[in-house]
Amino acid sequence: MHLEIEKACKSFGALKALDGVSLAVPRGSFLTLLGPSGCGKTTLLRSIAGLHSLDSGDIRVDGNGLGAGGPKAVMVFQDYALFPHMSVFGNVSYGLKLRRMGPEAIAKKVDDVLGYSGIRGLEARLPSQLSGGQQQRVALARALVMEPEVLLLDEPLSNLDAKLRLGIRSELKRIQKDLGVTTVYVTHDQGEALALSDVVAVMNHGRLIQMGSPRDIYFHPADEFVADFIGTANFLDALVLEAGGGRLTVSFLGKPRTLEAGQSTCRVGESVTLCVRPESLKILERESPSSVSGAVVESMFEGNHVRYWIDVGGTTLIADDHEIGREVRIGSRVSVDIVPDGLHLIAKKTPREDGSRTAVEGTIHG
Amino acid sequence: MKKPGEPGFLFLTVALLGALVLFVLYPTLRVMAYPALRDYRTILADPRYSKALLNSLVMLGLSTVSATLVGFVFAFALTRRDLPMRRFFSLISLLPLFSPPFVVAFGYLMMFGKNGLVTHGIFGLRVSILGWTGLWLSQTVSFFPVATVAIRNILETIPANLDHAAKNLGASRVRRFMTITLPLASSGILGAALLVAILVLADFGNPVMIAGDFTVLATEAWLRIQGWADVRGAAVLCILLLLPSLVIFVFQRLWAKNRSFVTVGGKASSLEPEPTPTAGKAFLVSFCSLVAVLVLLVYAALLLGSLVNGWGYDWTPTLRWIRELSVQWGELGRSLLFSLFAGLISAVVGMTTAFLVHEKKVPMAKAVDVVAMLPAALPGIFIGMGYSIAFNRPPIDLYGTALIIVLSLSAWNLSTAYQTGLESLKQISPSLNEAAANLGAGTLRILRDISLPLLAGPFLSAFTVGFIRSITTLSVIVFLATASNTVATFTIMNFVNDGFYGKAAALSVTLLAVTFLAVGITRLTFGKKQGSPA
Ligand SMILES: Nc1ncnc2c1ncn2[C@@H]1O[C@H](COP(=O)(O)OP(=O)(O)OP(=O)(O)O)[C@@H](O)[C@H]1O
Ligand SMILES: [Mg+2]
Repeated sequence: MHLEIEKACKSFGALKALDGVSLAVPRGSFLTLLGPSGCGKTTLLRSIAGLHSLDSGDIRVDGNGLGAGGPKAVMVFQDYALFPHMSVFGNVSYGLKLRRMGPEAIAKKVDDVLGYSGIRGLEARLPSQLSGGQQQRVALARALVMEPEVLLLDEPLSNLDAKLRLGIRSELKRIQKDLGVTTVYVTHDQGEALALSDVVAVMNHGRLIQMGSPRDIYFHPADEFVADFIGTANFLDALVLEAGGGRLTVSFLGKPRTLEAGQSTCRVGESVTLCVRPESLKILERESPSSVSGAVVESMFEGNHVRYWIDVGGTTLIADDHEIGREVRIGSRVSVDIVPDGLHLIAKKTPREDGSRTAVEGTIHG
Repeated sequence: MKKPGEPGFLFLTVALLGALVLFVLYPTLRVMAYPALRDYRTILADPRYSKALLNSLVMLGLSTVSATLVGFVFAFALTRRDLPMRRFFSLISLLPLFSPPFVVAFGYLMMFGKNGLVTHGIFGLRVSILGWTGLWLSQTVSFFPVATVAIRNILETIPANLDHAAKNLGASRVRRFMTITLPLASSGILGAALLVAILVLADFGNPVMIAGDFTVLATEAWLRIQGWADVRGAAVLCILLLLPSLVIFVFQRLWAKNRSFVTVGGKASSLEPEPTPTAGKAFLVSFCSLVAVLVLLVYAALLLGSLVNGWGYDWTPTLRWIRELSVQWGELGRSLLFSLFAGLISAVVGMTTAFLVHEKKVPMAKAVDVVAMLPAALPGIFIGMGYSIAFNRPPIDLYGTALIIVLSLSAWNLSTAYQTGLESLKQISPSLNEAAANLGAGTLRILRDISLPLLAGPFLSAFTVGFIRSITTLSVIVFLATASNTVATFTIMNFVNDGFYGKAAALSVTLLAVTFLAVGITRLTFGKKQGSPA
């Protein structure tokens, strides 16, 4: 593992900003920290950057602690933190000068970096003479020129407008892939997280809740918090009818359905929580053997789909209909079915003595 | 983030802490510890000094109120963009800031004294402004600019659209002034009043020139040493002066801390401010003109005084006083040199301390903050007293040296520079320092590469303020000046007291010219670098 974090703890007064976070990712992976505001993402990032020390726990890059040698993990700040009195060249070359690199070598490296960051020709400008997107690139170039072991990005796109975000986002991904630099990326934006990452780590209250590939996190959320935080989900309680052979049969709104049991050890007769994404629900024109029927109570046009709230025997389901040509009126009765593999079991809540949920340890094998 | 293995940084911290203790705290404590209980009893029992205390407090009330009022009207006038002669009034309100405070008293003495140009020369009267009225006038004119600057800053943060909004709701002009402008500015006005109060209380130059028999604490302390060579008694008087000053100072600090709400709604407004009504304009222009005349009278007196043979009895023009100035080149040179050094030292030390405190890189940052702010509360005469007690004999004997003057002036100006530094540092995003640290810069590198360049503008203004305050002060150096290290202000005081008005005027005018020139050259040489956007 290239970047390893072991039981990282950090408190500010009584507040536990990091509460025993452990994770590890291989070299070159793109790890995204995702979680609600105040959950400790920035704190974890700053700890990796060495901007403050941990109360306990350990952070290792390539098996070594952070203390020895020059900066291993270089950070791109949310507000860019460009030195306002230095030109673009001055900003980007600053770290190299601290390393006492010769002027020719510096000029060459800076030119390279500015080249693949797409800001060549702006060397002499001051940060105040750059657009937001250009400032963003300079901040990125200033970090990349250091050839860091780990690149740290704290909500780097949050100051840009939506269009620019998409452009820079894919460029960022390209540069990261080309350089193969291990990257830790903090964002609020779940779409961004799913689109960019090899690995997503979902945090809450200073703990790591779940870590996995974007698909894993999206389709197999560990608990309701993760499912709810990433996208929209329907949660349903269901009774286990049959169990065995890695599969479960449950009763879903009165109809039996079979799904992957995963590692869960449910027994017949137990109640479990299921999760269905709105896009996994299909609205049918006519009933089918597996469908359930209900009444549309609310609808919302969202551009590429229409979202319906459908009351099925007292339970409200959220369903996204991508066939926007048709319009289902509020109050009309429809049939709803689940696409194959659309139903997921949420890992059973395993309450601890103090009632809080257990933190997980995440390791991804690449 | 304190990194191990930064010996330069460690050395800097220790040197700085040592300097603060030795040159700020130690002299202060020496004054406090100097008198015995017996000395307090002697001084307090003497009705002469209870009268001086009372007089000091009376002047504190009178001059603070009048200077703040004049300062407010000026500030209000200067923020009205459609006021005629606005630039001229702005200049007038800056002029006294560049002059030694006692110059104002001296000017009025020449105009309204027993042999005054106005009182005697024009009206043939034998009256004199000498006494508390003269002192009141001098202090008002000397210190209203301080209030103007402070209040103007506040008034400019009140967005014009508030006024428009109130008008839109149907409020009359007067009502708008009373319900919008005044309440929003009130905290700033009180803050300015507290600043002025400290200056009035500590004022030495004006009373020594124009108060006559009306004695105040600062002058009594000086007389106690001059007349009786009673250092203990003088120390008691200095302490009596310090106590109210400290109270005001603490109050002012707390006040400044809690008034941040004023900046709410700081979003720049593109709305033009309301035009000023004609009656308002007339009032503002006539009021400001009156004050302007009072200010200009001072400088007219100085100029005239340096060009006539005998002020009050022989008005024949002469260049004698100017020619005789050559004897005073020494004092003038020392004034300039000492003040340049003091301005520089106070700016460097104040800014560095601010950096260390702001970054919390220094142990006991709270205590360091208090010590660095202390000189702002100390009357000049108290600092001079402290230095004369602490450094006049071994182990540290600086008696009669240039160093004792430079150091005392540096200590006196430390707080201004420190505060300027702290305010500016607060406006620099903390992530800049973190970014530099993250790229591998140590504390000293951050100071050198990031903080100092960004502080160049504030540094220049701290230096300028320190320089002007140093070159114009009388109170700090009055206990420290000897034949070998005397400066121009001290000589001017002696000339006035001995009745050599021509010499005093010529020297004052030259000192003013030197001050303006030095500030102008500094601005022109280094001011351009401020142009870089921050
Ligand atoms: N220097 C500090 N002093 C005190 N508390 C702090 C400090 N830094 C962070 N905190 C607290 O620690 C918690 C975690 O903060 P952190 O900045 O890591 O959150 P975050 O996940 O990055 O949130 P956001 O998404 O809003 O940026 C918050 O409750 C925050 O108030
Ligand atoms: Mg954050």
